[in-house]
Amino acid sequence: MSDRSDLLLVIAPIGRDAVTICEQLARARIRAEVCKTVGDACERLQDGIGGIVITEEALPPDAMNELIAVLVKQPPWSEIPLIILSGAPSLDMKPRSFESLRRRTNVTLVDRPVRVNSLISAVQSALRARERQYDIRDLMAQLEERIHERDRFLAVLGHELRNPLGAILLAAQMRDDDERLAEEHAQLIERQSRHLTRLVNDLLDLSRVAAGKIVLKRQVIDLRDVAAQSIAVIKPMADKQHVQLRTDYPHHAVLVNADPVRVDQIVTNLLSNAVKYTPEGGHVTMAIEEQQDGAFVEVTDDGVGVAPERIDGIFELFAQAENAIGRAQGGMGIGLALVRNLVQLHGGTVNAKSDGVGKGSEFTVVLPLATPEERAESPRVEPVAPATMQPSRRSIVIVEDNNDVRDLLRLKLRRLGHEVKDARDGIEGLSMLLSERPDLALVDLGLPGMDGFAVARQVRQQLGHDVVLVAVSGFGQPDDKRRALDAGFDEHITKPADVHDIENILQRFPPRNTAA
Amino acid sequence: MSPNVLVVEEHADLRSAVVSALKREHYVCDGVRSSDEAVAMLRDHHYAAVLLAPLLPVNEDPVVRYVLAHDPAEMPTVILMADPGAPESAGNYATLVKPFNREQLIAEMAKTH
Repeated sequence: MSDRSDLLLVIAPIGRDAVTICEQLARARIRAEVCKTVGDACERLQDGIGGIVITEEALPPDAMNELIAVLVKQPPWSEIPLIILSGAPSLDMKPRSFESLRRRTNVTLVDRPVRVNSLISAVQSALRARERQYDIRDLMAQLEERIHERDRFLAVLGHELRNPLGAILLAAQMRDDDERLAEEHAQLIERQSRHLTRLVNDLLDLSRVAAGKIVLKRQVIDLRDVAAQSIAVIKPMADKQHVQLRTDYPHHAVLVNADPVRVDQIVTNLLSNAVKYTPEGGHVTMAIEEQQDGAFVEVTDDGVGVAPERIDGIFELFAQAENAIGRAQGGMGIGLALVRNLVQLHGGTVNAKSDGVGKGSEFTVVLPLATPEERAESPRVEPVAPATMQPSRRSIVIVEDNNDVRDLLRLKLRRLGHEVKDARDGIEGLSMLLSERPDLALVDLGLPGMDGFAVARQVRQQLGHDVVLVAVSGFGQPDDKRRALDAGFDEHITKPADVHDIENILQRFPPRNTAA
Repeated sequence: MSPNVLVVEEHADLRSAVVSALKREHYVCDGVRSSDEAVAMLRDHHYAAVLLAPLLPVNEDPVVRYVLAHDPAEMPTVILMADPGAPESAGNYATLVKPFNREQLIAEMAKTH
C-alpha cells in the first residue's frame, strides 16, 4: 500500500503556538500542518495522518470525547500517535488524566515549557511507531490477499477435479453383466487418472520450484528427441479430440544443456495446453529452430486464443484461476506457471502471443544453446526408448497395505505373464521375500508393522543384492528417493505406480539366471 | 418409448460417460459440447430432458433462454450438472452435483418421466 502519510497535525489554539511548533518541526524536516480544532483534525483522520500534536487546553472534555469517538473506529493496526503538550500556560490549571485516551491510542505527554529538542525527539519516536503500524497494515493486507488467492485456488482446484472424477466414477460403474469393463470405459478411466496424476505432479513441482528445491540434472540433449517424446505422449489426446499435430524440425541436432525430464515437462505442458484449447478439426504445430541467440521451441494452435487483457497474466497461476471456473477443460494455469518457472530455471524465456479470442495462440520458449565446451564435455545422451520388448516371466512380490492398489498391481502384472505373490504388511512381506526370493519386489514405504525402509534393510542383510527392490511411495521428492536408495532399494516409483514404469525396470534388471 | 435426452457438457470424457450411462438405461441420448450446439439440436429434435453443464450463469445460458422463450409444454426439463456452489444460482432447476454417480443420475432422470 502506498498511503503512508507522515503528516503531523498541530492543534494549539492559543496565540501563535501552532505556527511556531510547525516552524520548529519543519526545521527538523517533519511535515506538519495547523489544525484549528479537534473536529477539523478528526475529519483529516480519514485521509490518514502520521500523528497529532495537541496542547492540553485544546482538549476540553467534549473535544476529548469527539476524538475518542473517532479513535475507536480506527482499524485494529492503527494507534494514531498523540503528543499532548501538558501543564501551563496558566499555573492554576489542575493536572488532568488522559487515561481514556491512553486506552485507545499511543499517547505521549510532554510537559511545558517545552524544549524544542524534546518535542522533536517525541515526534520522531511517534512517527517511527506510526511507520511500524503502516508496515503491519501492509503485511496484513498482503496476508489477506494470500488467503483470498488460496481460497480462489482451492475453489478452482475443486472444480478442476470434479469433471475427471465424475467421468471416472460413471465409467467405473459401467461394468457389464459379468462385471467386466468395456475397453472404452477402461481407457477413459486410465486417461482421466493420468490427467489427475499429472495435475498433482505439476502442483507438487510448482511448490518445489517456489521453494527452490528443484535441482536441474543437465546434460546435452537434442531438442528434437525430447519433442518427439512429448508428441508421442500428447498424440492420443490430440487424436481423441480430432486435433491434428504437426511438427517442423530442422535436419540437424538442436543441442541444449538442459534437464531432459524438465524440458519434456515444458514441451508436454505447452502441447497439452494447445490441444486442450483447440476445437475439433483444429491444428497444433510444434516448430524447433536454432538461432544465434538460442534454441526456439514454438507451439502454435488455431484454437480458442486468449483475450488481450489476459495475455500478460497467462503464466500467473492465480490470474488464470480467475477465469477457470465454468470451463470444463480446466485451466488453473498450473501447467503454464510451471512452464515459466522451469524455463527460467534453465536461464531461458517463454512468451505467449494471441491475436485475440478465437484467433489461436503462440507460445515460444527460448533456451540457451549448449556451448562448444558443454558439447565436448557432455556427450549427448540418446533418449531412452519406451519399453517395447515383452519382459520375460519373472517372480514378483508386492508388499502393499492398500487392498485396491495391491489387487490392481497383481492383476496387471499377472496379465503380463509374471508370477505374482503379495503381502499386506511389512512383517508378512519380509517373511515372503526371504522365503520366495523373487526376482523383484515392489514395496510400499508406509507399511503397518514394519515400514518399507526396514524391510529393505533386512532383505539386503539377509539376501544381499539377489532381489531387485523397488520402493513404491506416495512421496516423490528427491529426499524421499534418496532415503529409499540409502535403505537399500534399487529404484523408487512415485504412486500411482504405472505398470509401464515397472516394465522398464524389469528390462533394466535382467533375470538372475541370465545376468552376467 | 424411451425418452430422448440431450447432454450438454464441454468435458469430453464426462459427456461420454454420462451418455453411456444413460444409454445403458435405454434412454435415447445425444451429447454435445456447448450450449450453442445444444440450441441447434433443440430446434431440430424433441427432447424430454436436457442435462446441462452451464458455462455461464444459468439465466444467461443459451439453452435456458431458449427453453424459457418457448412453450413450456413443448420444451424439455432442464437438469443442471454443476459444482456444489452452483445451486445458489440454479434457480428452480434440479441439480446433479459433480461428481455424481450412476444411481444419482438415474434417480434424477426418473423424475422427468
